Amino acid sequence: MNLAIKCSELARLASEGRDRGLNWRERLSVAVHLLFCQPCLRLRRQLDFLGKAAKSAGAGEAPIAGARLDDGARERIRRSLQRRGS
Amino acid sequence: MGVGVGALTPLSPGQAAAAADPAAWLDVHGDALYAYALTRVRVPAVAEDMVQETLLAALGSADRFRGESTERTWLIGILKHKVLDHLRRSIREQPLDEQVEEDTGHVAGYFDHTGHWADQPGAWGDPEGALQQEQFWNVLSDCMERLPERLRTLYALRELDGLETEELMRVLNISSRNNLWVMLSRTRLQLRQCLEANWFSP
Repeated sequence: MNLAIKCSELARLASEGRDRGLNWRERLSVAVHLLFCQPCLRLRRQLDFLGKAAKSAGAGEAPIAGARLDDGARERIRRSLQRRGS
Repeated sequence: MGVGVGALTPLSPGQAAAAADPAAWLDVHGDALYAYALTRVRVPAVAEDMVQETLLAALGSADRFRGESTERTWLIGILKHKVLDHLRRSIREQPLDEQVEEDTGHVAGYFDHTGHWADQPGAWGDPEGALQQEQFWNVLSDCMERLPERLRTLYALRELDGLETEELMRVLNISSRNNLWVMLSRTRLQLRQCLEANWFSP
């Protein structure tokens, strides 16, 4: 049984493991590759970190880049709410 | 009933409707709603419209807000439906070009022809600390902005909102699971590289 995979395949599996369940053979290939490949181990950890960061951004725990309603937009929305509310 | 206790008691539906104050929602949650929409639809005018529609919808259904979630969560929930509807509609008008994604392949640029890294991932030290720094979120946001629009939308729905494969295929009208996963893989590699270049080892 050949479990050897290339770094390019490792990258694909490391990503897909976040979107679907890998089968036992894929998981074993990944584990074996990571034992010997420092760059790919970094990749896997960095993808984990990226996923965690994106999740907190999605949960609104992090302010995504100065996205603020400007005064004009605020006023337009306020007026439309008043029209509806009255 | 003491005033302090009353403040902590969940509002009954009738009370909630009476207490509905869209102007206050706009003041308190406006920026958060706008940021949520803008991260997913990118066009400021569209994001503004969605905030407005969300508050109007909230005004019409305030009696359904029972204080079981926070006001912010309730409003974001309404907005999320509007964002997904909008994306469904715009994707129908301009479908993702799956074939292009497939042909380009996700390995392009990152690996050499033998499948080894063309440019190895560098050491990021302790990345957790970055989560506490506002500047990091600006960099992450810039990196997302640089993605092709369809990949950015896909990534936001997958990682920010946690949509699963089947739902993503439906919303984005993608017919092949494999293409979807390959597109996500490409997107993550691009974001990783962008963060490394602009934050971890600039």
